[in-house]
Amino acid sequence: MDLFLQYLITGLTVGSIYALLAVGFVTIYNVTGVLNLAQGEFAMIGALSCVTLVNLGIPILGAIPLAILITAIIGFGVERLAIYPARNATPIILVVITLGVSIFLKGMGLIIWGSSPKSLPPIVESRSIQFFGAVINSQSIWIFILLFVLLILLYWFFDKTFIGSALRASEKNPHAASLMGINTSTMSTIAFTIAAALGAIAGVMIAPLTDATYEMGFFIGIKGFVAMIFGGMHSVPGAVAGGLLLGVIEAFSGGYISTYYTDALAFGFLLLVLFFRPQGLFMRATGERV
Amino acid sequence: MEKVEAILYGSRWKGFLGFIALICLLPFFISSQYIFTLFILIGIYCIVTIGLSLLIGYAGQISIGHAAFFGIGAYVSGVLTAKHDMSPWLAMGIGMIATFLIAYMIGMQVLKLKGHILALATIAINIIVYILLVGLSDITGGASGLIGIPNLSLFGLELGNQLHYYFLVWAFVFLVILFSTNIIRSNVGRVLRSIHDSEIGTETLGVNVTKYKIAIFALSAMYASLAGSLYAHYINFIAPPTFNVSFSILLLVMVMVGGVHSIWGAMIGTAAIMFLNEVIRFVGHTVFNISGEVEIVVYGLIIVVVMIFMPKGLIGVLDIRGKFAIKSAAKKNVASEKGV
Amino acid sequence: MKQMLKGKVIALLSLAFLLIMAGCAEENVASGEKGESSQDDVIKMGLLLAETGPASTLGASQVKTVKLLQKQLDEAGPINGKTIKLIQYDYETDDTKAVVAMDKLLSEGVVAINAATQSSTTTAVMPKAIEAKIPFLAGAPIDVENEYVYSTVHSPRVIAMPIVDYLNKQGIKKVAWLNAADGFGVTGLPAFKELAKENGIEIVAHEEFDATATDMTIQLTKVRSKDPEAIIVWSRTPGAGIIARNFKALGFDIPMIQSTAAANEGFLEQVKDDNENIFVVGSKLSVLDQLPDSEQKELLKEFKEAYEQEFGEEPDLFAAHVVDGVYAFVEAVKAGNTTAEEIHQYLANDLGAFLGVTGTYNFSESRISPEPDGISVLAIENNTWKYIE
Repeated sequence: MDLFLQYLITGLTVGSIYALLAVGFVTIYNVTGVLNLAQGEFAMIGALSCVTLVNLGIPILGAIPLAILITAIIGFGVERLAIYPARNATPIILVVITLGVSIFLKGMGLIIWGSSPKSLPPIVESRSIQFFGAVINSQSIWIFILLFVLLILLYWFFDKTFIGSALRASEKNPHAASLMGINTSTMSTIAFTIAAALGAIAGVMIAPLTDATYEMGFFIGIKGFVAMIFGGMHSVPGAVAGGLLLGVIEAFSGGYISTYYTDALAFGFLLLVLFFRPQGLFMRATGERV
Repeated sequence: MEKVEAILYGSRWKGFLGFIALICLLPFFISSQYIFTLFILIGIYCIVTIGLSLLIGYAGQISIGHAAFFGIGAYVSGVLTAKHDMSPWLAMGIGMIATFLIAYMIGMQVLKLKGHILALATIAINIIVYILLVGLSDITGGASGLIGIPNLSLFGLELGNQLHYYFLVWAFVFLVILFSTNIIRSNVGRVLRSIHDSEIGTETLGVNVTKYKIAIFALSAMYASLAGSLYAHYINFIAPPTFNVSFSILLLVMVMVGGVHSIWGAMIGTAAIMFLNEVIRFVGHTVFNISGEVEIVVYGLIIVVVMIFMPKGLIGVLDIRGKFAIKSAAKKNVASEKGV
Repeated sequence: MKQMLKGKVIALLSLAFLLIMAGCAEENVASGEKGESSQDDVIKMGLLLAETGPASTLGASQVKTVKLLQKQLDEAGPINGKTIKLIQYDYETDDTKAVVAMDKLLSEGVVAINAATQSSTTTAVMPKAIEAKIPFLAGAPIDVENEYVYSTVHSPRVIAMPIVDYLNKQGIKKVAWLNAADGFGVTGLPAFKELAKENGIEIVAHEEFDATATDMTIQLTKVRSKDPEAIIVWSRTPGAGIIARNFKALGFDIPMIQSTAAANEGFLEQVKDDNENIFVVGSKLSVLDQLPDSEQKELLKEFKEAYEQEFGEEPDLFAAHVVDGVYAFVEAVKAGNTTAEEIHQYLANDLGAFLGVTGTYNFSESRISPEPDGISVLAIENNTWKYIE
């Protein structure tokens, strides 16, 4: 029984990491329709610049906002320099551009921070918690609280503020949105900046658990993307649920089937979802625009 | 009628013959083993990228998972020859047929997806295949790789020799080009292009779009399998990391940088990226005395710049120049006529 | 017409491109040959190391070592009128790139090769050296034995020896084994199994994980249910550090012993402040001050101080492998050997017992591994390595 509980808790802990990444994916995808394969790199930059700031002697609570700010500026730069000039290109070209950006940022990460893993202290130092024989890492509780806060904030932002509505409108129908006086290219920039900041938040939150290396981006980026698909591409709560589900699937398949094939089973499940419920697990089917 | 043919498809033989001449002449200019290795690898990669260009450029479907098919080909060849002493040519054929069937079955489901989602599904397939290659260590040798893959030989001619292998690989490239251009010139090619432009439009014409898409997907996978077999027999050793997603990305980048709408573009892209890597390495180390880290940055930068400023790839640039040349030639003609 | 012209333009441009490439190649070779003829006194050794890519956590210190050694060789001046040049290429943790780079090294006329950071890459490039009949100093443990292959690294069996000694001393009879599912990770278990059998140690559980994964709690939880008395981990960083952290979080009170791939600063940083009961098979380089005086200590000290002075950080075991490969080569040159065949003969027959930074080598007796006298199970105390006798 305590095995089951431990698997569940580990699954949720890992899942919360994927969920944080997925939130950033959904934000960019919802506004620009661009699948940003460099999203994981934003997490890497956030985490590693936070490590550097802490090593410079800045207290962790000051270092985190600074790291998020730095990453947001980089996100802004990426959109202006790489995405905006190609805004009319086909999705395939945009995918390749974000791949290029991802390779570029990874290379910069390697030059600046080197290859050895760096660890980041958690916001609050505390021992792990015993819970009916299972162990919970205290950092993962903070991640859950943060996820909850982010969910509320993003809901409020996208549904209750003018700029949030404008952002959503730019994706739903860019032409109509621009007729309504919305500057869609500004919206794209805003979306990238926000997504970079969200990526950085993910990075600084997960670094105390997983450590930060320059190559961490791609792997967690792909997992975040899977979470987003489980959630149905367009929904922030869906992406969070998708992330948690992915984590739990990994933990249970590792625990009860085989740790050798954990990722294979997770991606196999993804393919099943894509084949049979391409609209996501938590969504009703909607009419697809042609 | 012949004229119409010429106008529709151009003289493909001239470029083709030129290319054959080039490949045959090259060994007279090169003596360095290193450049030979590069050209052999370029040939092997070209087989994959030509298939990818059919899939992306003509059928309009993306794949970031062709390293998986490359790997299946390499492993079928490797396992059957190294562990079961099968004839390499037979193993290569089995690999191609097996890959075609696997890809056909995968394609039936996967190609229902579009755009970004299709890209992710192919990444997922690549990762699953990679994990199986590592996990099924009793068969594949697992993470430590598979050693002892024999060299190829043909009618008693040992092909382990660089020069012989060079000709073998490029002979295969020519066969693949020939086969592919025939497909493009046939009515299948026209259907594919119309799928690329509008899938729904083509479907409304009563064409079974799915069937064509799947067939091209499976064909490109079969090319990748052939290339994988050639790779395995050339390096004589294979290990799973070679067939991971990063290689799929490299292949995709080669096709995109070269220009996706022509198989010549795919080949130019393949050669360009391979030489670019070597040039960056060479220039970086000798001129600027910088280390490998900077290579990655430059590589990423070049991808972004090419995609922004040359979305049609390198071949697109040649295309525009070609048109300019024609235009200016036409102007001259007009001018000279007036003069007379 | 248009199409035809386009075809021609493409053909012409590609012809030009290829000819230029061919020309470049010619030039390279020509200048290489010229270099050799005009300066007969240069002897080249080739090295392939993972400067970038996932294995760079291990390769970075090796690349630095090459720079340091080249500097020292330059300062020392020519040996018997010959200058030694170390040519190092980064293979980006990619076997295919390694093979290309290997050909490049061979084209440049190297007379010995030291490669590579990882086992699979070493296996991939080795046949080329054998074919060219050039002495190949293997930089990672491999299964293949050949006349031209000399291993500068410990075989998995030799690395496992201090672990088994430690287990015997502690009276531990039941262990769990965890390894990364990559080229390095999978090499350890077969060797350890043999040794364990000889010493009556039982392996009660075996799990694998991905060295770049974010959490190994599942594997550890499964292992725990088998009640092992110690856990042995065979993985590179970051996986090595994360599993150690998960191990502490789960509140294990048994020792965890990690392989040589964890014996670096990155791992120490990862397990900072919470590292009781974590042991690593590391180089004696890391615990120099705690060693009793010996010839070996002097040798290690000399290298360590030079490295620290140059780069401001400590060298690790992987750096030591490169040092020994290059030193063995330098010894051969000092003895007046200049061609690949002469160096090969010297290494095989004349070098004899050779005290290196990794350990004592004797290529005449064993090509597979140096002796285990350069490594030891290390504990961690005050966030630095502690030598235990």
